Order: sequence, then structure tokens, then C-alpha cells
Amino acid sequence: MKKRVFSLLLLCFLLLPLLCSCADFSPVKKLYVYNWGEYMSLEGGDDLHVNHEFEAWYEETYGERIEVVYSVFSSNEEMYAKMQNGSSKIDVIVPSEYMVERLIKEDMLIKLDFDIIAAYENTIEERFQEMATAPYCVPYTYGYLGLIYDASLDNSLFDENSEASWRVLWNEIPDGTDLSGQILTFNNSRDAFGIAQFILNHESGAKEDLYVNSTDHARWDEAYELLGQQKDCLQAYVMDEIYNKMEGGAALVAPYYAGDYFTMVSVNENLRFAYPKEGTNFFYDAMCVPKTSKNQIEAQRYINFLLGGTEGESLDIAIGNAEWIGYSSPNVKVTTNLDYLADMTDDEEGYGEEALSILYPEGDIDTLLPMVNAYADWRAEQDEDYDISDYEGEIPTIDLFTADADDFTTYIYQNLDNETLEYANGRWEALKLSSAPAGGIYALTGVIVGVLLLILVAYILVRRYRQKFY
Amino acid sequence: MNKKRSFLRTAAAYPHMVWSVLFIVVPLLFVLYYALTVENPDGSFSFSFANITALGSESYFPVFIRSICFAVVATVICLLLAYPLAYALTQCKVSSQRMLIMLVMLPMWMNLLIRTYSWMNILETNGVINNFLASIGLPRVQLLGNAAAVILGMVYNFLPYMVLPIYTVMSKIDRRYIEAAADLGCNGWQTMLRVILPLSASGVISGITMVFVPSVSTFYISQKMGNGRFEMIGDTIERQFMSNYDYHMGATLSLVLMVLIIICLAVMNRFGEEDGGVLV
Repeated sequence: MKKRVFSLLLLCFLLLPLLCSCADFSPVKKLYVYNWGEYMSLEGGDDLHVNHEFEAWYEETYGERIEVVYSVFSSNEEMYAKMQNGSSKIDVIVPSEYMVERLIKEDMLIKLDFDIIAAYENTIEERFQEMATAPYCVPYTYGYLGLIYDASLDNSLFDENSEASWRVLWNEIPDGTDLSGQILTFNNSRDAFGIAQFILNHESGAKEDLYVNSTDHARWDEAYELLGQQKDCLQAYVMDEIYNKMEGGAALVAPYYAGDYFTMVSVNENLRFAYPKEGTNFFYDAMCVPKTSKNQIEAQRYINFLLGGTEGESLDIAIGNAEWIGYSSPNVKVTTNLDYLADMTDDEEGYGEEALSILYPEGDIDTLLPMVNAYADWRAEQDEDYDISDYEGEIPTIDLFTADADDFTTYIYQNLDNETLEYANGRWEALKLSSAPAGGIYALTGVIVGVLLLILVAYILVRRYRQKFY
Repeated sequence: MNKKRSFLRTAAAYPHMVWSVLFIVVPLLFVLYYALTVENPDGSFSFSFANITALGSESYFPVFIRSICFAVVATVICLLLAYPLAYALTQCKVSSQRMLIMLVMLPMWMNLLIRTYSWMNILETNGVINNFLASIGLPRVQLLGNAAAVILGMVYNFLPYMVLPIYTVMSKIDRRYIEAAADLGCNGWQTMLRVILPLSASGVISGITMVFVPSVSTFYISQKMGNGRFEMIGDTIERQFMSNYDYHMGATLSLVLMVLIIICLAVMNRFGEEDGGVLV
């Protein structure tokens, strides 16, 4: 009898965690948000905490408590892997454009209800609304890839037309400086191949995209050859380590995203940023709702809140968040806001005068900047509770997105079909597998094995010799 | 009474058995399943040896050789450092031995990632060492991104695994054996070679396996300390799962690596048995 009681207890003990996970004891509804690291203002104290604001707003508007459970990923692939195993509860995700396409193709996203995301039409820039992915996602940020370099190279990197080239990552510096061992590039196939493809496309003289989204294996081979030539002058293939290395001056040139340049320059003021003449990658990260989400309505309300389209202070939150992230914003309400523009160009609080021309390279910043500065001067003279409608200066109506295709080429990464993707991955694999020479290690291993064999032979001989005496 | 105890004994093993089946046996079966199947265009899996034959045709062979060579060198350096250290430890007072062993283990209280990142900060061209060199007027040198840096990372991270087993075995050697050897006319070297070394062989062997196995399968250290220029088999496996989504190839590589490690362990165990039968 005792035995039975004991085993029953043991069984209960073993099943306890299972039971706990099944029954959800808390009455609060939970909204699971899965975003990139460092990609939302979640500061404590007086600073903006977007999720707390949302929770407060939600309870006030719908009379129901909700809790945002926020977690982060560091690559699209990581996010995709987590989504694919299906067991994780996710209500809002923020993948990049090619991953959005992939998720749509694999039927993993819901079509958004723009009655719930009512702010969409008036806030999101038209260019995004016209995209094929538009029914499934709401752009959160966008940006371009550029060249980050040390100020000591200010005169070396540019050719006679004062244009930079991606070729500097191949140690081909216009004035002949040798930068080998000081150059970084991406440690992921799409971005690393992308840069080689921008160069090839530019040098082929084609206006249209022949390489970046090509399904032709020969074109991928060309890019692979080019990347092979780059290998010897590189210091490292990196992803996040780029921050440490560029901020500390361990490397002098690296490709990275415009928005992240501001993070680096705030630590190392000797850094500079340039868009190479071959053109660059245009990307956007967009909010989507997976089909597996159990809170689809709430998720879409959350997206609407982030757009700043709801009543009350929601626009301020969208602006504050966009300022905190420091990427280009696809939200027209934000980018036409004088406070946003003035904050971004502020030397102390924002990212300095260059911020707008780096984040919005396609806009007419030269005309815009004097107006923003005039407003910033006016604002500095006001007391704390100033009213923007009192401002009598010129209010800019410049569209920051005017695509001027002639002098700024952009490529968007499309989702490659499986066959091409496999081929591209295979090429990347081949590139990575051929390692830097490590002859010393092989020689050392040979010596070690040799010494071990010698010891073994000597041991056996000595043993035999001694056995004679027993 | 007796019966009850035996029941308790078996019951005590159940949680562990459940654990092993769930988290060791089942995952291993998954690895085997993925390694021996390929994905058809329609998404279904079918049984095939294609992955294993692909290993030969693609350039994975040099990666295996490279990983093994790096691991061998790291293991030998660990052994050369750890053996004298362990011996020196056993010669100290018991109270200070505890303190010193704690110092050996201290780095293990930190996460491997943090330890490796700290080494990057030390060796970086603008790191501690290079700043010192620059301050006394010497040129900066590139310390990261070469094979030596990778070896350094492995040795630093895995050294405690070598010191501890050797020290444990050595500290249990009966001092009377050493005294007897001295009585019978052995000098210091002879005592070392013919008494202490054979008696501590079991510790050496378990130390070697405990260092060799993690070094051969390491993936983080080579990426960070080698600047991503020395591809180890661990890096390849990680990439198969994390960015290529080729679970089948990843599982095949893991399987081959596991078989290699098992062969190494079996060989080591053979040596161990010859030298007096100890468990690894």
C-alpha cells in the first residue's frame, strides 16, 4: 500500500510541470512580440517605454488588461527557425523584406485587417503601400547599406569625382593606401554576396538588376570569384562584432546599415559614412502577424498603436520610438513632423546635422535643413509647454522619399527560389570552407603524432629488453 | 526491509532515465533520422545515403582534418601545462591546495562566451596588449585572426578540464610509493617517470578526453579568435542549421563527428585499460 502511495506521489511530482504549463493561471492576456535586438524604445523612468505605454492605453481604451511579452532575435534566420518549429507563441514579428516574402509564400502570415490598423493609409509612405507584400505587413523601419570608415581615410577612399566605391573592401583604394587586414565584411551569405553583386552590376553597365536577384548560376559564380579575391585582404567576417571593432578602431572600413552607424559614431567620433557609387541595398523591416497567433486582433491593435494613428499621445510615441531607433522611418506623420526633424539633427540629443542626409539620401535635404534649423532655433527659445502651431516660420513640405533613380541606385533583396538559394548557399559554403593557411598547426600535429609514436616504440622496446631479466 | 530498499533504489533512477531518454536518446535518434534521409521536392522525406556520400564529394574532409589538428595541438599544450601544474599543486600544503584549485576553476564560473570576448578585447589591435606596445613606442601587431589565437582560446577555455582530473588522481597517490621508490634508489626523474606517471595515467587519459572532445567540436572560439577565417567542423554544423536550413547535412556532419569522437574514446580507453584499468 505504502509503495503505491509513494509511486503516485512520484508520478504527481513528475507531472507537475506539465500540469502547470497547461493551465494558464493568470487572468491577464499576453501579447507576444518578437523583434530585433535594440529595436524599440524600452527605457525605464522618464524615458519612453513603448510597451508600458501600450499596456496603459489598451486598458484605458478597451477596459481589459494586456501584457506585452517582448523578446528579441538577431537574424531573420533565427526568427524563421523559431517560427518553423511551431511550438512558440508569437503574435507580432518584425522580419526583413525577403523573409516577409518567404513567410507569405509559405502561408505563415495573416492578411492584415486595415480596419483595425486604420492608421496605415495615412501614415505609411506610398512606395511601401504599393509593394506586393503590402497586404501582409506594415513597415516598421527601413534603411540602406553604406560604407563606414575611419576619418583618417577621408582623402583616400574617394575618386576624382569624390565618389566612394565598394571596391575599397577589396583593398582597391584610389590613392593606393594598403588597408589589408583592416577591412571587415558580413558573415552571412546574402549580404556578403550582395556587395559583390552591386559591383558586378555597376561594372556591367546595366541599369536594371542583373545580379542581385539573379537565378542564373553563372552570375552567382562571378560574385563568388570576386568574393574569393577579397578573402586575403579581409581582417574578418563579422556580424555584431562590427560594433566593437569599428568603435574601438580595430578595423578601418566596414559595410553596415545607416541607422547603426549613429550608434557607432556616438562611441567613436572618428567614424564617417558614405554611400558607394555602385548603389546599395534598400531594406525594410515590417510588422507581421503569424497565422498561429491566438491574439490576432490585439496584435493588429498593437501595430496600429505603433504607427501613432490612435488618439491621444500615440503619435508622440511613434516619434519618440523612431528617434530612439535612429533608422529611417516609413511613417509620413513622423517624417513630416518638425519636432522629429529637429530632434534628429540636434547635436546633443539626436544624431547631428548629417543625420537626415544619411537616413533619407533620396530626399532633398539641402533645402530641408535650413528650415529645420530655423525651427530648432525657434524651439530653443520657447518655454517647456510650447505649442507647435505658434511657429510662424516656413513649414517644409519636402517629401523625404522622392526616389531620384539617376544618382542613387538601390537594390531590394527578393526571396530567391529554393533552387537558387541552395546554389548560393553552396557557393558561400565553398567560400567559407577554404580556410586561411594554418600550415604551422598541421606541422605541429605531425610532430606530436611522430613523438607519440616514438614514445610508443621506445616503450615497447624497453619493455621487451627488461623482460629478459625476469 | 530489503525489498523496500531495492524499490527505492530503482525509483531513484527513474527521473534520470526519463531525462536520458527524452533529452539524449530521442535527440540522437532524430540526428540519425535526419542524417539518413533526404527531402523530396514535395516536402516528404525518403531514406537515402546521399548525405553521407556527399561528404566525400564536397570539401568537408579538410575541415575535419583541420578541426582534429587544432584539437590535438590544443590538447597537447593543455597537457604540457596542466601536468606540472597539477604536480606542483599536490606538493603544496592541503589548505593552500584548496585555494589554488579554486583559482584554477575560477574562470569556469564565467560563461565561455564572455571569456572569449574578453580575450578578443585583450588581443584586438586596439586592445590591452597593443595599447601597451604603442605606449612604449612599438608598432601595433595583429594578434587576432591567426591559428595561434584560436589555439590560445581553446587552451585557455579547456585547461581546467585537464588540471582537475590529473590533480585528483595525483593527490590520491600513496606517498609511501614515492618514499619506497626513493629507498630503492630512484632519483627524482626516475620516480617521476616510473612511479608517479604510471599511477597518474588514468587522470591524464580522462583529462585528454575531456579537452579533446570539446576542442574538436568547438565552434564559437574559432569564429571569434580566428576572425572567422579558420572554419572548424563545429562552425560548419552551426551554419547548416542556422543559415542554410540544411538539417540533413548538419545531422550527417554531427553524426560523423560523433562517430569520430567515439572512436577516439574507444582508443583512449584501450590505453587506459593497459595501464591499469581506469574509467574515463
